[in-house]
Amino acid sequence: MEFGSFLGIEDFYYLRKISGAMKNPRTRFNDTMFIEEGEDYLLPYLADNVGPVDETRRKFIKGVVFGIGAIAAASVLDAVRGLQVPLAGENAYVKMLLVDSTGTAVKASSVPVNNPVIVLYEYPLTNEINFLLNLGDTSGNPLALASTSVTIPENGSTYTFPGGVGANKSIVSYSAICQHLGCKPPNIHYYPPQYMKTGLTFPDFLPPDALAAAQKANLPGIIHCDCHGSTYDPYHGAAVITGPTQRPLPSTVLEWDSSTDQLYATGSIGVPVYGHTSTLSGGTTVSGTSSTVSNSSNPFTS
Amino acid sequence: MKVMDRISSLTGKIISKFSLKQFVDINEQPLFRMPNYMFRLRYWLGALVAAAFIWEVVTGLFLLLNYYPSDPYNQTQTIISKIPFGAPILYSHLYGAYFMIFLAYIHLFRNYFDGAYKRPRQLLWVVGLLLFALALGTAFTGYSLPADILGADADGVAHGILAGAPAGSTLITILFGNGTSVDMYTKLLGWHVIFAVILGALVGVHFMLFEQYGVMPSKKVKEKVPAVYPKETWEKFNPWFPRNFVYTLELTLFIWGLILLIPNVVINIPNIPNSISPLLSPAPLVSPSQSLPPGTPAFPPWFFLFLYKSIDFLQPNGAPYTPFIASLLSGMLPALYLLVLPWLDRSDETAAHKRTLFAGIGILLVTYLVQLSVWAAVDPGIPEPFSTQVGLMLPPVFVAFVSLYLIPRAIHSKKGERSLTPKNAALLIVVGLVIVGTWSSLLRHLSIYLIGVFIPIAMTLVLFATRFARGVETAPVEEKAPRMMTYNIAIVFMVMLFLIAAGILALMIRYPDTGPESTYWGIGTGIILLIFSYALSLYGYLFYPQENDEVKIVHPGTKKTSGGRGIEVQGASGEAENQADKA
Ligand code: FES
Repeated sequence: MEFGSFLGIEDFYYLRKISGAMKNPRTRFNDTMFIEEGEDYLLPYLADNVGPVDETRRKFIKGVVFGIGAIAAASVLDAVRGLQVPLAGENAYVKMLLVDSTGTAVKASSVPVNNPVIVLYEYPLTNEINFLLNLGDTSGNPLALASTSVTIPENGSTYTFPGGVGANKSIVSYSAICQHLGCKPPNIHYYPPQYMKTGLTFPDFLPPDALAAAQKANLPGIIHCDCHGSTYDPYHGAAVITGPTQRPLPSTVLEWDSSTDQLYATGSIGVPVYGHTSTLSGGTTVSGTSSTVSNSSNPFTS
Repeated sequence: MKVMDRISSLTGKIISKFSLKQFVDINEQPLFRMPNYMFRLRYWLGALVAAAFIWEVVTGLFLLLNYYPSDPYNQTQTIISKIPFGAPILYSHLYGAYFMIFLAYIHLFRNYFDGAYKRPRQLLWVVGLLLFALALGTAFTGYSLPADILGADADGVAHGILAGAPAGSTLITILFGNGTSVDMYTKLLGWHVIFAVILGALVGVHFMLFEQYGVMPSKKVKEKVPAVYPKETWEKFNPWFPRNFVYTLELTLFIWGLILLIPNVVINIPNIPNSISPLLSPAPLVSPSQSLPPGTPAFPPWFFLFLYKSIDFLQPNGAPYTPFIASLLSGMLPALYLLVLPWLDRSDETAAHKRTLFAGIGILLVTYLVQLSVWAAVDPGIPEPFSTQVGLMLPPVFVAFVSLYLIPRAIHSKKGERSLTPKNAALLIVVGLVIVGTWSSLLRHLSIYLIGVFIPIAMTLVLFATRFARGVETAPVEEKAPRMMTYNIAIVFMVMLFLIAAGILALMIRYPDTGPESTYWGIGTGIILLIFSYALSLYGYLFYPQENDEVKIVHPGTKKTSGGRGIEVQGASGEAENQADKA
């Protein structure tokens, strides 16, 4: 297929002759006949009115038809982009007051320490649930949680976890969706110090390696996912202790108003919530300026 | 009597007046005609898949009319408890998909081991694989629609797998929408239907290609590529109507009967253990906001279990794969292999024992599929170090190739004589077990380990089973099988079947058509369909020729007139099989 034989000047001249003959009332091109008979009409028509189509010209015409076809296909297929819908969500974090089911503000001092019950609220989107935890030591006294740097094993980068809030600096909040494959409570939950042992009833057993890893790191409790065994350190920004997860749980930033003892969620740091490209997009926004905290269930049945 | 004659002549006139036959005569269509010996299940596996697909379309349309993407979980519960026949139809829709995928696996591997992908059927094979991929896509989207906890988990896992893929976030929005629940279930429903429609169109292409090449003749008829009947041969076989039609109907009703019967029986079994209920339950489980009953693992459907296990695999250095890479390795690699298979295996042999390498790979594919699936069911979500993977997945390689090497050799050890009796075969199994017994350090995974050992041996035996069967068989195949049943017995039998079916119907209509008791409709109708299928089978047995026409094509393409059916009865070739048959 030589380019020269494809696009000779005589070809353009020939094309001009064709268009002239087609417009000429005496030799008008019959569209209906062409649609019905295709090449069988076109070729004799050209032979009669313009001169026979030789092999080169025929190839050229075919090439142009294919070219137009390709352009048409590309232009139609461009609409495939219409399949990509813009993600729902919001543009910026809204500061939200944490309230209980009656609508009354949750008091930081009344959040139980080392609570085995799973306590959740949605923020910033309705499909993004978060744990609300008040962490203590083995004897149940609140632990002051300092700001630390958290590493994302997946890419080695780090970010700063701001630490606990409340009078004792012991209240924290994390996304409750496992970063491995998205398991949700009650599959993933907090194991307070009193349940850091083996031999609990299925499914709330702790696999020995998770327990050993927690003891090695000297942690009173852990967040553990029963789906595939990912373990997170709630005392240090939900950093990864055991895989398979490659990402820490995102921290939901809390603000404590010391005058009223009320808690506010103000943002999120770390990786996006599982299943979202950004924590702010991919779901319906929690409406209003408050989010309801609710006791979901107590996974420890024994 | 006179009245009867009048009526029959009148109906005859009316029928011939309005007969479609004057416009379309199905037997004038260029449809492949089947020889007598092919009216056996193994030649109709594709028809079984198609039957299940038709069931899915019909029940799917009913469900489509009753599904609300805005409230998927509750509406599914409404379908089950309030809509007449909703429960049996929904349950059979799930089990119909199970049947379809299971039968597609059987169909695929039968064609694999019979070398049916070879010239001239390469395109048929490729279209078949596309159909399989589409079926899995349809199954996945459908599985999510009830919006129960399993569906939600499956979507979570799909997000994780896609997030690691190139352009993953775009794919996620295309498949799952903008993140709101309504959009997600609208999209999933849409894709479920779109995939099913494309599937249906491709089934048409698949069927037309099948008609073009015809059924692959048995190995006895033609062993070498191209395994096709010459046109002048097959044109003399049974016309499509009525025999092919009756047999197709029989199989279709058989599959429909099972699809309707089994889930509606399963739902009525009390106390299914929690550990397997996600795999068996025909009904959706709890909603995602509730917790599963204790001891219930969050399984994907059984046909994705192998993929689920591969996500637990760790690399040799102990780091996990990303879910995308893991599913690429366990899902895409085998798929690519199968796709290019017709161009890899270019020999003109179709018999499995003459394609040892490809038969071996096929056996391994089946073994790994079962092994990984059972593994995922037994140890869901437990990370597996590289050493465990090797310990469990390497022995099948040895077992497969050792048994593929030994068993045919045992068959051919003495020329002309079959030395592999079932006793020797059992001995071979023991030898095989001893060889691999050295790996027995893996007690924790014993069951999975044993699967990896047994399947290759069993499959090798099955692949060669027809060959021993012929070796053991002493009686020659009768040219005309004697009828075992006289027409009088058959009449009594048919009347009994009719009465049983009528009895079941009478019993069934006493139960309400909504709520849990509507599943009795599913059970009863399932049994009636099975009875109908059996009656057709009896009819075919009584009225259609049973002569064995499984005879070798001597010179394909040349017309033979001496054989009566256009094919020459096999001559005195040195083929051991023929001698065995004559002995
Ligand atoms: S989803 Fe939590 S460990 Fe896999």
